[in-house]
Amino acid sequence: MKLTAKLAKSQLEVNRRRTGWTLIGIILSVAMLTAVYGFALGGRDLLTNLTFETWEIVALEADEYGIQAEAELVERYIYQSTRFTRVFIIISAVLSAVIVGISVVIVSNAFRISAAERLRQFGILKSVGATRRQIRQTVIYESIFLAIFGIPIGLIVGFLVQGIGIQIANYFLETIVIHNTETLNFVISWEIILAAVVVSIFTAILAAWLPARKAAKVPAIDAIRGAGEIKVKAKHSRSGRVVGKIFGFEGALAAKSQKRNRRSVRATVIALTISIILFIAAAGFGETIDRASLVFMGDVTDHIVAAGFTANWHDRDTNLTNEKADEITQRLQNFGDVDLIGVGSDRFTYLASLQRENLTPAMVDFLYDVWHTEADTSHYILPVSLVTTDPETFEMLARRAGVAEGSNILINHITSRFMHFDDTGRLTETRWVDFVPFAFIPPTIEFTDNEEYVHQLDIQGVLTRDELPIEVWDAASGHNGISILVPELSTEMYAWYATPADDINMFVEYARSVLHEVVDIPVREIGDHAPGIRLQVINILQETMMVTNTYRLVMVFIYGFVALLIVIGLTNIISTISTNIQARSREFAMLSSVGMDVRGLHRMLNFENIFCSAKALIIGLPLGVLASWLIHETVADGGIMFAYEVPWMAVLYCVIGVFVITWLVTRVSAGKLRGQNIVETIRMESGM
Amino acid sequence: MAILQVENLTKTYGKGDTTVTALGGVSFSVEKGEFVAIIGASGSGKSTLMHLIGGVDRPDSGRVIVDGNEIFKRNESELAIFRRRNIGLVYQFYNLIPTLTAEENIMLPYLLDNRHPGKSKLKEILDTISLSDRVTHLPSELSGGQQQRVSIGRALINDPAVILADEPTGNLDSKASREVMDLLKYSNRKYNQTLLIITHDEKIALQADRIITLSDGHIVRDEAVR
Repeated sequence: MKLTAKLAKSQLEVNRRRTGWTLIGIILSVAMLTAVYGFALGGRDLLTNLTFETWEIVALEADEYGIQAEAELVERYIYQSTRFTRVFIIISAVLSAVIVGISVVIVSNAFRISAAERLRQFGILKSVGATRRQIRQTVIYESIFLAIFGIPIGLIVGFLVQGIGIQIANYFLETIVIHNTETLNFVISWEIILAAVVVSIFTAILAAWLPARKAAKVPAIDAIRGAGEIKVKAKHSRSGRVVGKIFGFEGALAAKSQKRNRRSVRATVIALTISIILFIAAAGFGETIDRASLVFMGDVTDHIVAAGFTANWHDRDTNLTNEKADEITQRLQNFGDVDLIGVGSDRFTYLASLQRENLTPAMVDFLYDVWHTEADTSHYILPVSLVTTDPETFEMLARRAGVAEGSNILINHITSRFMHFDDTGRLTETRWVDFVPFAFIPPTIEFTDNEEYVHQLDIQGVLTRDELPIEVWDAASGHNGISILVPELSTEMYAWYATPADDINMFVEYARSVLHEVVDIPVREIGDHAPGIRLQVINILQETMMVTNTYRLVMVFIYGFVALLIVIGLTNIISTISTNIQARSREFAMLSSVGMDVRGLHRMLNFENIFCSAKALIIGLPLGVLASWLIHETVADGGIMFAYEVPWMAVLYCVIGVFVITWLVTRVSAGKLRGQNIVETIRMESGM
Repeated sequence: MAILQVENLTKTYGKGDTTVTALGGVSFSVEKGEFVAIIGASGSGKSTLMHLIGGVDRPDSGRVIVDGNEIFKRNESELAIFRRRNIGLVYQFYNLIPTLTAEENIMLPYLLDNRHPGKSKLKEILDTISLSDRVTHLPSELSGGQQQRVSIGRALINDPAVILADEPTGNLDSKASREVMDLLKYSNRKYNQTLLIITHDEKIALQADRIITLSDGHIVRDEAVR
């Protein structure tokens, strides 16, 4: 074996514990790379297949309605699958960069300490004629040896992680994609192995290269004198006075040794800081996604099953007549013991003319902001949506408005999400507006339909948002116009929300058959968004679970990813702290020879940990919070959707976690020292 | 022709007010096979002189010519290779590599060249330093005197133009000191090995052919002993 290789090998053997922990770090980073590439390939195949299924359905519909030519569909399919490949390459590259970046910092930490321990040895080697290149080699060989063992084991662990991840993913996938036969498959291919091996070798060599270069630069003469190892400046030894006053003698000693062991302390602080940043960022990301999903989902109903009709929007003749809607309502109620509400609407097809004098200032502002109407006009044109409900609900609402059955009731409330886009199409502003539009209720509202017929509707009553069931409000809102509740209507959308007393699945099947029989077209599967008349029956419970499970799946992967990175950091924290304590066994022996007891020693070490942890927290917490803010800004569209909140709980866990971890590792390493004989230790260490 | 020529060597440490002149223009030359002792009080510049001759440090000005080669004209890695092939260094604290065996420590200059000195050469050195029975021991398993003999073995193995020994007996008891000095003198006589010893021990200096006395970075005396 070459001398440089032999020296590296013996250095690895000298500090077996550190070697072990560094090896674990390398194994984990190889495993993460392998798993990421495996998931990326599997994910691409899954999404491509899912899209393929969807496009197949679209193609069938296309045949039926002749909307799109088949050739175009095939083209779009190919376009989609290459797009997925590109997306997953980008995702893998970004994740690889994160893994490599963190691994390099963490692993090179270990090599930096290992190299620092041997500065004197490097000096001797230089004085007997070793070149810089040879010194660098001895450090880099350490890394190569670890990589030789770490990469194969890492590959195996990586495939294991992939296997476990796939089990989890498929468990969630079953509920996410209903009637789905596709699964995330285990992928093991030479591309994954090659990519993981190449990137891992690059990581290991880069991690060793940085400290190796630094070690090789130390002049032989400094190294022989030991100048590179401990340079106690007078300044350092004096600064302990203030600390001593506050924390006692042990505190002062701790502060001094922190300064003297700067290199090893810095390594621990770096590893701790990275773990803190990752933890806070992941927690912030979780919170952001959590709140974003709430914004997107919203609440439509408290019922369990939703049955829906949607007309072909460009063909008014396909609207659902009032008679058919009532027939469906009746038949659904015949199922027995079912709590039901039916809501239908006809939107966007009517334009009303409103007189300014009837409107509230809030409405005038809204018309200006959203519809860009002139400020000084006396008449405003804006869409009217007509809404109807099942007869029973209508009767109840009429009573609530204090009018006779068969009356027209104006809904005097608008809630709208105002969005402003700049010239490039970027969303620059969004806010919710919520106001009462009419100051005076006009007796008649005049409006034209899309065939230019003029209608006149007498208004008998008024209801506000709070007086409406949530399902009716949902149908009446969201179109930036006004809504009128009418007793009878031919609707382009109609939804029945129901809560059957017991058998949900049987009700779903029953509702499917009712819709199919009355409307006389097939009821579609969920996720089928092809154009045309649509009938669908949804188990909302299942739907909600699907969304929460998608969210959970994403979170499992993100937290898993971050957790593994933090474990890589932990391996380093353990190895640096325990190495530092081992290296100082002589100092401890000396302290106990002059009468420091075990309690005092532990107190000193505890102080050291507190100083070190505090340092890491001071750097890590603000950076972590900054990272979580950046994530929030990206996900939440510049913070418009919802304001940023500092993840305080994560910060708290972090503070506790950091102190507990450093304390635990120190206690375990210090426990190993207790068996040593004072005199033996002092003699052994000074014997050189 | 002189095997070692030192010409007007100067070296200062520090900057501004704290400048210390370690060497203020030192010149001398040493013939092949000569045994020279360099003595002086601590801080007189002895160790600096030795580090410069050994090419471990670089001077502010002046030249060191070993066996006709001006060593500071070389770049760092050329100088390292020159060191491993032409200079033997012996330190007060032995400076052995703790993870290598005695034998490997002795062969170190060869190993750095990816060469092997050959069995007969190695045996000759081991016999000279009388350590044949402990070749596989690590430095920590050897006594101080044995460690120093290993480091002399390391210095001898490449037939260096000159051996530089910095207080080689400074860390040893009187018996071990005698053994080490006998070994150095033996190599000087047997191989006609040029030898420079730095010491502050008058008795050791008196065993040399010539004593150079340094004071405050200058040669104040240079005289033959016999």
